Parts: sequence; C-alpha cells; structure tokens
Amino acid sequence: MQNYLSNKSYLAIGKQTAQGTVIKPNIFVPMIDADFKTDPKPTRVKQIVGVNYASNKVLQGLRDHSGTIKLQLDPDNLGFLLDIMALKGTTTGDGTVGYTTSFDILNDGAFFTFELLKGNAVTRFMDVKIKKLEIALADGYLEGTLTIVAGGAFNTATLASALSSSVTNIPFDILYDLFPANCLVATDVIQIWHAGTPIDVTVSTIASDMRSANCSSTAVTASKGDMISLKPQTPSFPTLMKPFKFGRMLVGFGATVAAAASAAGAYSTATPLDDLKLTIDKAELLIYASGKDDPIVLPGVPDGEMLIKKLFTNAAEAQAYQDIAKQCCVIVVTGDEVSAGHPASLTLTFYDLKVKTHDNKIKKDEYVYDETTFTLEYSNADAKVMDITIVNSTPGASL
Amino acid sequence: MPKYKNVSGQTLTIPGIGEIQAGAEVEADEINNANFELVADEQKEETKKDNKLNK
Repeated sequence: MQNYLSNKSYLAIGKQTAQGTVIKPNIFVPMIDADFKTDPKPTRVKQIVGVNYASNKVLQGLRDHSGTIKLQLDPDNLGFLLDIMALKGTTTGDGTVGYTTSFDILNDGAFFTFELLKGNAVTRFMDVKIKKLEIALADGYLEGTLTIVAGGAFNTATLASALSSSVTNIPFDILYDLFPANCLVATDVIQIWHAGTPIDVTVSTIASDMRSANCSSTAVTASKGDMISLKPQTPSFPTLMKPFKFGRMLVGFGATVAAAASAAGAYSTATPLDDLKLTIDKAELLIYASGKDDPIVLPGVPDGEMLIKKLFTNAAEAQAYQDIAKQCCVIVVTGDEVSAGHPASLTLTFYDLKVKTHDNKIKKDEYVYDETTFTLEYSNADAKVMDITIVNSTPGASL
Repeated sequence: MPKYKNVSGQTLTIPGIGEIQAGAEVEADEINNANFELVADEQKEETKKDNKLNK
C-alpha cells in the first residue's frame, strides 16, 4: 500500500473571471503548510426512539469550506494574494524595471479557484476569498498566514450507475450534493476508482445540470458507487523570487504620511523594529440561502491591526497611547532584483494609526521595549486606511 | 514518449523533470497541467502520409 509524503503536495491557484465561474488553476505557489478543507458539519439527530442511546441518525449540516494556509511572502505570490483581497489597480512597468501594482483594501478583490493535493487526490475550492491575512516575521523573512473561505468545493464524487465498454458521459450520484460536478471544468482529468485501480477520463464539458461530465469515447468498466476523484496535476513553478526579508525593511513613523515616508527613506531616519505583525481582516461573510448547500461568500467590513516591538528610547508611545494621538507609518521592504538595478518591493502606507495597547515590560537581564498594538483607522482627511504597492516580476496582465 | 509544449509564456520548472523554457517542448510520460499542451505525434503523422503515397 502506498503512503504519501506532504512534501509532494502542491497548492495551485487561478483567477476566476467571475464569482461562480471555476477555472483550472495554473499558478503553483510554494507553501509551508495547509489546513484547508470542507466541513460537512454532520449533525447527530437526538430523538427519542425507544432506545437508551444518544443518537441513531446523522444528517448533513450547513457545510463550509475554510481553513488556513501558511507561506513565505515573496513579491510575486503576495501580488496574487492581494489580488484576492483588494481591488487591483492598473499595472505599469515591464519585465526590466518590474511591474508596479497598487491595491485598494477598501474594495473587493477577485474570486480565485484553489487546488490542494492531499496524497493522491485533489481538493478544489471555488470562489475562494482570503478572509484574513496575517503578516509576521519568521526566521528573518515575511511569512503570511491566510484564513481562507470558499463558496464550494470538489472533494470526491460517487458514480451514479455502472459503466461498461465505451462511454461519453460519466454520471455523478447526488446523495451528497445536487450539483456534484460543480468545480470541475473542461480538460480536467477525473479518475474513476474500480477495484482499487484508477481509470482516467478527460472531461470535455460539464453537463448544464452539473450532475455529469461529458468526455470523448473512453473505455470504462466501473460499478455504481465507485469513487470519482480529481487527478492531481503535474506541478510547475516559475522562477521563484526570494521572500521579503526583515533585514531589508525600513519603517518610518510621523505625524503625517509625508513625514513617515521621509523617515522610511533611509536607515539613519527609520525606526528599527524587533518584531512586527500586521493583520488585515476582510471579514468575508458566509450566507446560506435556499437552493444551495454551499454558502455564498459576501464582502464583509474590513479592519486591521498592527503589532510592533522596538527598543524603548523615550515615553513617546506611552504619550500617544494616553492622548489617542494619530500617527502615520510607512513600511518599505526591498526584495530581489527583477533585473540589475531594479529591485522588487512592498510599500505599505498607514494613514491613521491609534494605539490600542502599549506595554513596557520589565524583565531581569532584558532591555526595556515598547510593545505596541495599533488599530488601523480610516483617515477622514485622506479618505484612506492604507496604501499597498507591490513591484514584482509578474505581469499583471497575466491575471 | 509523448511531447508537451510549455504554452504559459514563462520558464517553468517541473519537479523531477527540470526547467522548460517558454515555448519549448519536453518529453514526459504525462503532464497534466494547464500550462502544457500535448504536441501531436509528428512521427506517426509522417508514417501515415508515407503509407498513403506507397499504396
């Protein structure tokens, strides 16, 4: 019996043209780990049936598709993630100077299809949104933890009737789902498992009722109830840029954005941070409506928070905490060169930070630090919360 | 062994196979990937033409 190492898994993503329109993912993204699955929420029915036992029946609950994915943040993969979370602006530049794209976090990004290989079977999720992005430092590099939600998924299906000789249609059982072939598209290869052996079938189209897959004439011998899975793709990775590095981050604070940007312009004027954790919460909502077992993913009310830790120099942060004083912050992280003399970069501009919590802990043999959590506020004067700009090697037109 | 062409427009690396330039072809048992297209078997096509001419 074969066993499967997680190292041979993959995460593939693809940008959908619209909500509800699945795409075969073709962008393979390195990840650290993933815990992202469908939870059918089986519900035990606790009813009186003349037996001294807790339950005699389990029913489908309101399923969801959610979880977390952790990955190092490089200029290209962060661009894809921001495309999901925020409205992407016009991309300028080229493969020499780099592609510059700004993202508007107050508006919605695109829906994506995600595909995760688990062992020898693929789970595909549609209408994926990143509900929350946490950017933190790990081993000197920027690491992202994504909290993901999705509006549908394909895990496995069940063959509805026996097949023999050559067929052009594969019928799916509707016991679990009225639309079992949802999330499949033309050119997908599905596998019908008969007596432990997979039979590959290339999908030409999905039936309009999403209860079967059409194919060119294919020899299939299989029994009613046989499992249908999605065949893993062969992963392919572009030239990967190095993840953003802590040591190449300059952070500037100021009473205005201009002052903060000026401070972030050089190491001599920037504020050295010992730690940073930024959380952007898009707070997507899952709504269950009649006619579908899967939730509809709707935009939520975004919010954000940033934690920093730096060596204490004076009580200015304590004063800001006390006075609820507005601060602006600019963070510039310089990455790999797109071409000689043209580095990739990430620039974050915060228009109104307010101190939520502040500590100066006293511990034996340790220096005194400012440990401050800021809330990201909407600046009425600037009509902004934050600006995000990426310079990377990925042409925006490809997405 | 069938041939597959990289139609993605960028250089891609396939674990276990190596780097394939944009537009280049690679021989592999199977590549199930939206970035690669199966190349029609030219050898078989030429053999079919020859057989027709010889008849």
